[in-house]
Amino acid sequence: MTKQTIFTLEWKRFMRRPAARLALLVWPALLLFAAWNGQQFHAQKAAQQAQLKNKETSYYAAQEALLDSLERGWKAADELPWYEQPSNPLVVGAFRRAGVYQLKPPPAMAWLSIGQADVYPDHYRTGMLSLSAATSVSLENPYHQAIGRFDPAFLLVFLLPLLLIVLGYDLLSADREGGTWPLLQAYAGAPQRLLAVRGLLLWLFAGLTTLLPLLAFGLFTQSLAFGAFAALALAVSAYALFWTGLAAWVNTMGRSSAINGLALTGIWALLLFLLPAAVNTLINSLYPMPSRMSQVAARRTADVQAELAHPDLLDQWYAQHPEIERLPEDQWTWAEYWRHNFINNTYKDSLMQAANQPFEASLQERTALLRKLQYLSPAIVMNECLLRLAAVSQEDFSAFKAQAQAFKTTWHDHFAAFFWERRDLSLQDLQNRPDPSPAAPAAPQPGLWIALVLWGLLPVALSVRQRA
Amino acid sequence: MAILTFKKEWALLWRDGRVKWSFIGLLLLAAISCWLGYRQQAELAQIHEESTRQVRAQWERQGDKNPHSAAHFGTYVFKPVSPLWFFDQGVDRFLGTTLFLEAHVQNDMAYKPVEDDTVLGRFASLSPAFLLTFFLPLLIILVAHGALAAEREGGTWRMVRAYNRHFAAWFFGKWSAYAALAGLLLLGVFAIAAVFLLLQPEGGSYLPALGALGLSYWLYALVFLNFTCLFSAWSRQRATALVSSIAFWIIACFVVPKVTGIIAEQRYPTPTYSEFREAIEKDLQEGVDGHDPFNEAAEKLKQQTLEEHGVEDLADLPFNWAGFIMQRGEEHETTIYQTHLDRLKQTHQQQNRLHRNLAVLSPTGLLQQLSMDLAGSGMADYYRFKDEAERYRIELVGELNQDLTDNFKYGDWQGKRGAEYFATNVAFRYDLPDARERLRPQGGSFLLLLAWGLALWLIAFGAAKNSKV
Repeated sequence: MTKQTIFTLEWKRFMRRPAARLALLVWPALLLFAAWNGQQFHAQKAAQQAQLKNKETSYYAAQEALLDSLERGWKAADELPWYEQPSNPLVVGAFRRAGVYQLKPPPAMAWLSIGQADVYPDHYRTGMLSLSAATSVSLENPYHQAIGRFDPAFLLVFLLPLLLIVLGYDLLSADREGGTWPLLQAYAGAPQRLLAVRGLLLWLFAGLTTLLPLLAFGLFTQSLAFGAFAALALAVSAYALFWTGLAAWVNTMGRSSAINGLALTGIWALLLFLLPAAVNTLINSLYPMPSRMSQVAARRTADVQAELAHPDLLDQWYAQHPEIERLPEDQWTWAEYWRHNFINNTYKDSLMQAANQPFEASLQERTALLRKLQYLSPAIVMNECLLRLAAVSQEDFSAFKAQAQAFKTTWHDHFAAFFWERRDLSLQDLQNRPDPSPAAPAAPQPGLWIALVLWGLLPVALSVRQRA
Repeated sequence: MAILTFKKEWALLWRDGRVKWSFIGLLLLAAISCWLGYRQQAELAQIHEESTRQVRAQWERQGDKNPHSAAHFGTYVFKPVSPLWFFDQGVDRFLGTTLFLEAHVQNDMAYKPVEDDTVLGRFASLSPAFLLTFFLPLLIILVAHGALAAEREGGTWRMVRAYNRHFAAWFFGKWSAYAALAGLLLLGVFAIAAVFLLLQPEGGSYLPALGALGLSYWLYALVFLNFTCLFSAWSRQRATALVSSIAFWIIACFVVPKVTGIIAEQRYPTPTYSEFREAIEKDLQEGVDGHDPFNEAAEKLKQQTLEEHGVEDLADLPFNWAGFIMQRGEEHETTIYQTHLDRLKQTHQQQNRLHRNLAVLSPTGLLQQLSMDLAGSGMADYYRFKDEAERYRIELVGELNQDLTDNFKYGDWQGKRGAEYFATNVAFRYDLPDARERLRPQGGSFLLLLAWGLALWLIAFGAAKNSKV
């Protein structure tokens, strides 16, 4: 019998199975629903971000128009109190409605995963004195965060292996138990040939029923990035290959279908729950996060310390700047008040930085260890690949935070220069204010995909070795 | 007949190495997770105590300040962990335990532990509650999937049906063996948990809550047992029963709670953070703002107060107008914040109720909520703490405003208070709800789980009785 005939007969046999028919209907539907849900989540964020940006744009347009009319003499400057003057660097750089939004817009295929996007901020509001992080997601029920999201990443990482287990746990054992094994051998020849054909069919079935609906969704919603989709196809193929290979390997052991099913479910539970939980526990034990309660207390101490040091700081500063007259408190204008505020803030920031340092260091150590241990389970690697494709990994948010902090300095320095030089802003100065660029994705990690392919090939190699 | 079948099934179960090792493995994992949870809890309790002491000292030694400046300086309160927290950490990871209290504003809890966790924390957590919620059903499926299908596969089903008169006793005997196995495992896990509970001061008073947790998990396990028996009755082969039971497990444990979450969000949508804040800001503008003397409501109140006291100037009032208006503003702000937060709380409660009601499709959501509420790591505890903290904020800020009103002259913002005064200010004290308070609202959930178990038992029995030979 030719390979082609075996392939055709086996395909027919495979598609006659109720589980396969059910999977053909249910699995793509689940994927489409999950993709829709993922898209809804990110669309809500994008809409929220657009609203914030509009608010910012209209605020600065109004300030520019006001400054323009002041410069043209259409309006007299003394009609406005100092805290409404658009030429005042503090008014347009630091005060209540001033400041810009730094955004982390979702990439084209963000619907693949919600990942850490429901925890970490997707925008920062930057002013001269503040950098406040916020997330655009709704004030949602924390129970929903605790149970996790129904997004394609959940289906691909957790349920795709189960689909393959359900369809592949009896690749050979069913025939052994049903008494059709000798007959099969008579027409198909060596068992390895049959196993290879069945494994290939299963892999193709899983791959196609997974990738085609996602491709259709991307095309239909015009949210497909071809590079990202190719990377997704590679990840799905490698991950599906791992579980198909595992099912094939377990079948080569010659045990009953029930035992095969149990063994595969056990491996699934081990790789998807127990191992990640154990790795997480190990990370927490080796690099425990210092308590945030202690951090609050430390920051508070810094706060009090800065306040108590305020008079000394002013003494020092005025001693270093003899050209500036130190006025008594009852003669202070807004300029003195804010000058003192800036002097104090610089000192306070340095204290806060010291209070935050152990946390930042611990976070970095934990992430570094995780990056080493993640290769222990293909499920963790697969999850990480999907997080990267949707730009919702821990690294993506860390990169965004670093970018936001760097921009805060740029923004601060731009306006602070005018404040310290006691210069007013011109319309051109205001228009030339720094503009934040949207968050750049974290550096690509081809190692993840290579690791996933290697994981995929491992059980295939084991099956070949077992049969040999 | 029932006892004989029970004995035979019990002996067979323990002869099966897979059952024995899975049982031991799960028990061991549960013990390790209890220990890890306890260790973390003890550390948290210690930090909680130290930090509470430290922020109080910081409050008292904040330096010389005007009382209202002190109200702006604010203070922190920390949510303590309940003695059963080590068993189920519930939603605490997503809520944070630190709350900043200050004048005019009701802040959100800060520093959610999930923000510090690695991405693996979203995969799974090694807590006893997690293990029992997801892996106890899997153990039940492992041992019971062949309950009836194996008889059919082995050719003994005909013999069983031949004694039709005793079928109910036979079925009950077999079922009891699996139920007893689940019970024995839970007894082991909860005995270990009881040890860790009793190691804590006042832990003993939470034993009834731990007992209720044990009962809930057993009822939950029985629901899965009954489902497995049902699939076993419907299947010709053990493998089919196994695969169907696992499929049900996936749907019940993973798919239904997540999909219910989507339905709940669609049906009872929560506002976005900025929508929520904007709505509060809008309402705040319609009342007294203590810091804005030109505010319309403040101006109206000023005129009214001047008339009431028959004076023309604020300085002639028998009290400090600044403190008075600050307090009035505070009262208005509190009402506004409370209204919006109550609305949000109500939405979350409606969503949680939907999870409970949809327990008809899966008992997992029901059990998770029951478990975290009993362990003191659910939404009920969070809101209880927030309400207490808000009561404290109102009291503290009220005390400071009263001092400003009674003891300072109008316009005297330079007047200050020192450490001696701040040491007399009210301190925050939070008592955790006792076991009885935790148990009282859970009656409905218990009954629902019980009803689930009973109805399914009858269905499974009916399916077994009517299945063809």
